[in-house]
Amino acid sequence: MEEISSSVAVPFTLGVGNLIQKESAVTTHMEITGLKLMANTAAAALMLNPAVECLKENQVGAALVSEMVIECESNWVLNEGLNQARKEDELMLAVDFQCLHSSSSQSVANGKSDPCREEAALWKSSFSEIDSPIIIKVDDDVDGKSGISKLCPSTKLVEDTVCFAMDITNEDQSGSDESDPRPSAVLLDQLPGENKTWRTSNPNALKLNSGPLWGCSSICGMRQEMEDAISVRPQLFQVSSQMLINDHVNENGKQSLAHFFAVYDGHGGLQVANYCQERLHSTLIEEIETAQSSSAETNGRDDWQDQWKKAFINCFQKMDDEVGGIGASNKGNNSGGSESNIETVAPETAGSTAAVAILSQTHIIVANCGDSRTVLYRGKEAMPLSSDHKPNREDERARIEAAGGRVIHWKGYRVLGVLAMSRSIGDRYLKPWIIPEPEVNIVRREKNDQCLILASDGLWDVMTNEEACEVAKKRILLWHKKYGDNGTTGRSEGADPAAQSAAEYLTKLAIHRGSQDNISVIVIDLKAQRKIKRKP
Amino acid sequence: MGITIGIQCLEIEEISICDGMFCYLVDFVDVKEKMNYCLMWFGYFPSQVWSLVRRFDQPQKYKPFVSRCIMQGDLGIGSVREVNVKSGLPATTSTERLEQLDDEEHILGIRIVGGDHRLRNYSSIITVHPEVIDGRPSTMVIESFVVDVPDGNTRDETCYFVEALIRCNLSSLADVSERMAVQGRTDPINH
Repeated sequence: MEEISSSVAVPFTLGVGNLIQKESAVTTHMEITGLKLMANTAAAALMLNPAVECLKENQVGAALVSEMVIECESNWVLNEGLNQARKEDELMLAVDFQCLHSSSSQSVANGKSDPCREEAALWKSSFSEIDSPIIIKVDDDVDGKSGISKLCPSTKLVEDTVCFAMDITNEDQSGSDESDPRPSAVLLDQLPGENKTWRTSNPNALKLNSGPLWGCSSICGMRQEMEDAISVRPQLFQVSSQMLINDHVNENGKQSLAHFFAVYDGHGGLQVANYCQERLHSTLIEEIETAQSSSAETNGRDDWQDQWKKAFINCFQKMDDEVGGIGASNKGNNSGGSESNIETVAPETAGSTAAVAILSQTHIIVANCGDSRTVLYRGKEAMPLSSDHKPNREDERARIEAAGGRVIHWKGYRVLGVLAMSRSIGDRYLKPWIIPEPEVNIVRREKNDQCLILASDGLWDVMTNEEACEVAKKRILLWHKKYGDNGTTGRSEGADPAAQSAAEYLTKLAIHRGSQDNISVIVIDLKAQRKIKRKP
Repeated sequence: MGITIGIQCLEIEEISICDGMFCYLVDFVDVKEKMNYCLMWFGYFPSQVWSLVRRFDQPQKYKPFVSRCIMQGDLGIGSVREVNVKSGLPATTSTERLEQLDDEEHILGIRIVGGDHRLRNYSSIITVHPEVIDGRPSTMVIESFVVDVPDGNTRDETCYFVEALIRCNLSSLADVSERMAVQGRTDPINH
């Protein structure tokens, strides 16, 4: 008990003095960090490194400055995680393991079992270290209430911002030791400008936060090969009001930004998942434009939800055709693969799931093919927005057997006893029983939406929807309590550090609970926008 | 071994591969011996097909589910290979012993002796036969197998599962052989 409190208290005792010491000991700090990194187990290294690669990969083509910002940000997040929250992470892992694993565990507020009480005590200790204004904010978030009065930033909050800025500066200086000084200079020039903009101009602050607050983590886990792929495309395209009919007629003609998120869990090889990662989003744009054109031709008679379903179905079918060698030829992709056919992107035994989510201002549109899953945390309820395509799902089994196939229980229910999912992109050798047709679900966004989680079955096999949502929300709140959410308002182009810490924690927890597969997780914080709007 | 007499055909399906090339996929049960067969005709010279089949140490050359193969000891009758299986299948490893290798009669015999699949006492024989169809040289491949029926499954289900895998292997063997024929390349039979 005391030990837990002591661990929790440590991060919050840092002051300006400590920061100064940090600056003077930058070299020593870097060396110590390196040693710790080397001392990590191979599994830990696997956990951390792919996340960085994933972040960088998603920013291919971005400006150099943006890339520097993202690199500093991700390094900073990882370093903070390693140096300050290591012990706490271990405690949280143990507590979550006991609490979530217990069949009798309920919400933290009940406090019916010892592990839950420990967790409640942990949260209590955290709250006692925070100033009053932040406590009010926490209460709002926890209870899902919206604040009646607008909170004015206090002197303390301003000081927190200053400290946060200093942290960023430190990381920049550390990073610049290993890179060209010129980009670093550009960064240093821009950082104060961003802060000034945030402080003096509210409309600009809102504009800066048009991007989604996402984080992702993708690790190999217990398998020998990595066959998962994640695709994050913020602000991928503009959606016309015709494709998202709102209640407000006066919004006709307006367009809103839409963000694209996807998890692809490959099997039998990584070729199909990688191909989807590279191509599915652009194929989807083509299909959406086609749907909008046909909508104009039919004078809007088509139902807008049917247009989305058609676009997704056509998109997934195209991907399936292309990986099977029908249509576009991709010889270049196969030049190095001895197992790939000349005319096809992937061998006929390779396939992939596809869990796709489109996030707009008013709606979340989800398309699913296979057994990855998308879950929305709404209020205190975990809502699955997709339904797993398992061979023993009644309607799937009926479809397969009607086509002359069989579902055989062979280490789980499998199509022909071979494949454990009933739909996928690819898997040519199992057609016509395996189909690439997605199920599409469209939900309207609500005030009490907390976060959205897309993940492969490496996570869902060891965690319930409720557990994953609660853990993600806790980690997001924890991050904001430790580092404050004010400073992040100007950094929404890359991954959001709070959502990133939630995604990484979920993958670590899945490993801890014995996941035997690749694990890929995307967490999107859906509440931060509202927090920021309350301030003006 | 060789061609078995008294075979009863259950199903015949013709598959086109490309211009002039084809194969027949036949499922049948030999009433007398109660063994199970998968049979496929290829439109290629047997030497090309056999050069792939006989490589006990490199099944991944034509078997699409194999990700890696490690030999234990030297190549010869009785040698054992450790096969790693690609993801998505209900197994990750299979330990297999070379029972028979006849380069003149084109016969390969394998027994599965371990692994985390559910195939107990699995034994299979693959034979490669030169044929002439419509005046063109061709190859017939027969894979016959015996295996215990695992607890919780029927014989029908077990054969269905094994035949699905064999059919996939033979189909891939046809594809790889076709590419070798097109490239005019044949691995030497004798090492």
